[in-house]
Amino acid sequence: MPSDTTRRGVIAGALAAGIGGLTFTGARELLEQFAPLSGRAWDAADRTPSSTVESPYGEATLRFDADGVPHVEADDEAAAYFAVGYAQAFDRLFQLDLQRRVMRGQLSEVVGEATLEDDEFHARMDFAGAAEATWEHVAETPAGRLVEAYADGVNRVIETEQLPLEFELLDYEPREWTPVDSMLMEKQISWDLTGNFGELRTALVADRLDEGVAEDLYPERMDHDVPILREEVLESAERLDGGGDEANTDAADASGATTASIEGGSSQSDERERGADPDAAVGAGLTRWLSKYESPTGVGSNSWVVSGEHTESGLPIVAYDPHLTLMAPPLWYEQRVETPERSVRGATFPGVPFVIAGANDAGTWSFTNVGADVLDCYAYEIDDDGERYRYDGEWREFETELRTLDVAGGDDRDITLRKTVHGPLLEREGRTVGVAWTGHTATRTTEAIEEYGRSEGLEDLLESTRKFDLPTQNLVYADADGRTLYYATGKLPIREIDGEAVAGNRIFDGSAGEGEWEGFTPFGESSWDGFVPFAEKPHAIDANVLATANQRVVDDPEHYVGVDYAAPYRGARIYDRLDAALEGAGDDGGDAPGSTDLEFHRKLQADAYDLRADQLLPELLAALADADADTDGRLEDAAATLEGWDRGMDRDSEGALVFARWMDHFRRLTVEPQFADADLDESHYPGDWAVATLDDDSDLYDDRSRAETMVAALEAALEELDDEGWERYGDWNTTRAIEHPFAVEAPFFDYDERPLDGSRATVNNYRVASGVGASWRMVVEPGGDATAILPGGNSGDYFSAHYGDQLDRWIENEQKPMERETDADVAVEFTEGSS
Amino acid sequence: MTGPDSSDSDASGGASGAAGSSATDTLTNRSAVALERVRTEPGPHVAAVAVAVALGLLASWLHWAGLLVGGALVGFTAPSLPRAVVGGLGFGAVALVVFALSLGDATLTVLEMTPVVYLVVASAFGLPVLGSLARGLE
Repeated sequence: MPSDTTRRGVIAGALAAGIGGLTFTGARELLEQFAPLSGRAWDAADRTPSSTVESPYGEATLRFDADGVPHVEADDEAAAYFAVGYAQAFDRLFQLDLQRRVMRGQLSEVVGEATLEDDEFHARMDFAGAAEATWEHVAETPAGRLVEAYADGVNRVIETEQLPLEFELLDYEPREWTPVDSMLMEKQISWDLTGNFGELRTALVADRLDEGVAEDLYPERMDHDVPILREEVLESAERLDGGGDEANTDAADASGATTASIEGGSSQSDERERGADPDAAVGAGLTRWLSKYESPTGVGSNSWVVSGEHTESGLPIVAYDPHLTLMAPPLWYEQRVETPERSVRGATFPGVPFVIAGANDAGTWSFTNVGADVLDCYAYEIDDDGERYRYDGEWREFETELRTLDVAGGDDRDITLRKTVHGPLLEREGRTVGVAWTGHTATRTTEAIEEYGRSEGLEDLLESTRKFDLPTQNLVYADADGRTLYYATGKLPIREIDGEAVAGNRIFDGSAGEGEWEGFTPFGESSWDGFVPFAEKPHAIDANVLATANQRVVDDPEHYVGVDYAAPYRGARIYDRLDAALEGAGDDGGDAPGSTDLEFHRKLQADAYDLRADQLLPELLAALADADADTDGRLEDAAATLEGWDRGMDRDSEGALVFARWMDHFRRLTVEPQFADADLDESHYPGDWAVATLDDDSDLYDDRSRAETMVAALEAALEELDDEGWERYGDWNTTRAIEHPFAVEAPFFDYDERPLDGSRATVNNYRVASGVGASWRMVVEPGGDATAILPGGNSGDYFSAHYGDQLDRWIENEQKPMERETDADVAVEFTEGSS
Repeated sequence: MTGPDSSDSDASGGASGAAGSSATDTLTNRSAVALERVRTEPGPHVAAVAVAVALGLLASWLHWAGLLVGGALVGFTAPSLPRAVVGGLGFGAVALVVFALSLGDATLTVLEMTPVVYLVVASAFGLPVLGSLARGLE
């Protein structure tokens, strides 16, 4: 009996401990999520859309093709966009909600304190306020009704359909989607492409490094001859009436002698006090904080067009691959909409109703980033209490608003938003800066994009482009009539100090009214009076061959555009290949000499030839030849590998691996000593072009010559290869950087890791360090054939067959047809009704 | 009228209490006999296990603690504690199979959900086994 009692006691204890442990620890939450049969995660495992959905906007059909691309057809545009909202929400609802939470500063409400700092930035920037101002304008346009229908379609999914897995894991339900949320997506895209605090970083670097070194490492102009509008383009293309001659104008003189003013303020700049110290805005803490929210490193894109003179079909061809953050699911969503007004297919960002880059029956359009300067920083004289700032000869109260940031599982935080006449005021560690950004006002881009989808040719599209207020993009277009177009979209500010046009890459004295944007009303409707007139922006009509790769737009712009251009490696390579193909040289091009076909352009998108190697390898090999022989012969072996390498950044290449790792070490060893002394971390390292073009006698090589640095970098690279066990480029250059937002907590959301071709300098662009690369590829003959591919899949539903079904094809750039028809069965029938 | 009725009621209450006690004893004895048959005779054992599994699955569908309950119910049909633990494991296996069937095409995707799938398997077996230990409290 005593033994029975003991046994029972032990078992009872084990049961109590087990059940208590499961109930009162984190295990309970895990079991509620994932226990077989009852786990709420499994509710999301079998999502299928309702076969019939009532729509207040009328009848429509929704089909999903073999790649999960939705095809919406309707007789009424609003009925179609209700279905588009439904399709996007069904496939990408978590992405929609996550993005708006980020932009509204409401992420901590569901994920906790970890994102509180991010929320503070987004709340202080008041992107939501700018979106509200934009919606006030858009609501009154034809696009407004379609955006409302779209929002209602999204809400139908929220109300009636099973939510995706992410919501089950975080255990929350999304709020109602509003048209303002869609405007917020426009702001997000624009911010990701143009949000740049470069002037703060440049000022910090200039403050901490020798002036000469800073100028060498961050040149305002890179010395190359392959701008987008190169000589051949300027000579052959047409320009609008009223536009100047960009090849023969002076930037400052041509901008006109207007007097800067901000609406509501004074234009008497000579009466203003000059009391603010721009250095007051320069601080490592503030700059580091703001840098976290700028465009991700490497964001850029390729696009090019050749006219029908250079294609086998006689139609122009446009090729496009935007290099944005790669993620699971992809940033882009492919869709097709067919109504009596439009027949359009292409990619958009979830949350945006209309195709952003794609093709209709009349033409095809694409966008790459200009790198224009549309954000200015202002320093102010602020009173001791921090409540007023000096402006227009008087002390002004900041416009303030109390905002509460909700925090899941933590204390909510109250912050006070402050604004000046220029825009939001940002503060960190005692440093303060005012920000003016062209997105902080009502913008008409949604109107423009909506009109693109039903445009009927170049003239039509050009008219709509006048409304494309932001972001600043290189628009490349071609139509079925054989016409081509390049236009720099977006509003370009003109800054003046004492009536003289100045560049915007500096911190302005906000108290003195320096560099203000005339006709700009933050968080209201702007007249844009003082901005670069449309006809004077860079453009080219009916160019034969034109390539954009984020390089300098034009050598001598009529007006200041910006300085944040990409190195010319990609632009030069694309132009080289196009020139060779059109001249009928080599094996490039189509079957007919001097012509190209779609396949040629797809191959060019996959081109992994690295021009950095052309620039640096001869110098490195010479340095190795002059270096003392190493004891184990590794340097000699590496030199032989590099010498025999074809300079292609291919996943199976050993030479590509050695070069890629050497490049990073060479850059680090070049700048590290001085940067470490100046307390500048890796985020301030210069680009490859600056390092590649540094002189031997640069101060950076005072202690170790450039040749010695090259050899030391190779030794460091080889040691790293040994340590890591990498043998081929694809061992290091993989898809591991492509992550889902829950990558840390739930890594199963990520795609399987695969080796990749391409580097940050190649046309086939991929940055393993930041996970930026070709986020969408398309090649289109307007009115003819078209193909496209996504880096993942069209569905964001983890359990969908289309979650990652395009990834392998994306790696090989095997694009799928982008047809504007489908024989798929109707998945959802939208019927007239109000529920 | 009230007093006698009340008194009668008390008396009859006491009488019925005694009768109830007897009935309870009878019921307990019958239950013990039935449980013994369930644990020793093949036919009743299979039927009881089937009912236990069905009830356990139903409970598991509603809440993760149902896996504990399922393991305990199956365990009570076992003739010994070790057999109860084996029964708990068996119930876990059945729960996993039913779970896989309920997922349909998504099963393969769930298998790729590491480390979540480990938790699924561990809880499918661990919780019923824990529940089956209740057999040892008799």
